[in-house]
Amino acid sequence: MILLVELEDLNPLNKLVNESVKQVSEDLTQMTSMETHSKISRISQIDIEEFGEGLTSNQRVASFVQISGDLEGFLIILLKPDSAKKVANSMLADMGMQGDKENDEFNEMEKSALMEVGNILTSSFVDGMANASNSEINSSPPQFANDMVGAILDPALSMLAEETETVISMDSELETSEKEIEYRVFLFTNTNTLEDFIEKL
Amino acid sequence: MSALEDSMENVGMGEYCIVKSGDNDPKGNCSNTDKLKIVGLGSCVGVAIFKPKENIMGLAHIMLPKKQGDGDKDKKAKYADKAIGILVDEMEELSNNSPKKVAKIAGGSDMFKVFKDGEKETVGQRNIKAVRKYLKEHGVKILGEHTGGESGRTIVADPKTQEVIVKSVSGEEEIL
Repeated sequence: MILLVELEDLNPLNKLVNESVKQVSEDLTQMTSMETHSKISRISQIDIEEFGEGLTSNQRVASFVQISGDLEGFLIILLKPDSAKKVANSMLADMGMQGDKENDEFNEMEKSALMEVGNILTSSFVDGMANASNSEINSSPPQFANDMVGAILDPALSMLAEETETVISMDSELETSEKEIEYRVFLFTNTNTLEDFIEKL
Repeated sequence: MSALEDSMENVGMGEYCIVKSGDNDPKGNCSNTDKLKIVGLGSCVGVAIFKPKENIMGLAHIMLPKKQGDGDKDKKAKYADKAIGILVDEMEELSNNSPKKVAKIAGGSDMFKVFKDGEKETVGQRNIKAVRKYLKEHGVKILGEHTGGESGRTIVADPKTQEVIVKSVSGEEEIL
């Protein structure tokens, strides 16, 4: 593994990620009416091509956001399909609407609800990081996917691989109190932009 | 994925493998000489090149079209230009009895509409174009293709039958 950033330099970033994830859990709790807390957060520098074990054929529902500005990369939220159904239906119920609980596929309303989760979660995460570092970070509208984990993550890793050999992976897990729903949140950032970002912390 | 497929060797991102059925000396990033798989292809492209008469297969998991700039840190099969050249050359080294080679390719989907600065095509679209171009340059005819779209793929490639099975997340299968 090629270390472009010394690991101790990641400590302030780790603290920042934990604070952002905490904010995300609070927002998710409010949005889905299900108590959600952060379970674990890992921050690591990885050789892009060494990420093989993470690229499985397991099915996940994803909200995918590209970030740009002072920090470049991708924020990807993964949910098991049954968890995604529960989140979407809980949000729709709060708005007096009903999803399609009988069908494994996601209808447009459910997709829209899940993209809203992506929107809020991304805003919490990205705004938290931008404010703490006095940086400007922009995020694209979220995009939806219901597919294999590998297929969801490889476009982000490939695009980053055009610029850099390694990426910083911030991998957080959140769950509801009953462990009914588990969220996996990946933030992959370009190591080149990260060095400048860390200096501002 | 079946238990049999679970036990198959996976060719990871930027890796390649060349096997000859019945020969215990594979080349590249693998240790066995049986069927190989690539799990969860999104924008990446899996390229299988066969020498049909000799049960020789090369499989590469390509991430990007072409290397920009210098440097030698990259894995050999990360870029389409380099990966296809290596497969063709090393398959020839293994046996030059018959020059005929054919290819089957899968992947290059547009999972998300994201573009590199200055590019009008997604990384998946650029990968497919590059793979077709470099296979043609090396005189390798494409016999089967399952590319593009907006869905992921897992592939299983067999050096004996020269079949590539393409699977989607919903369990649909197509044999190339």
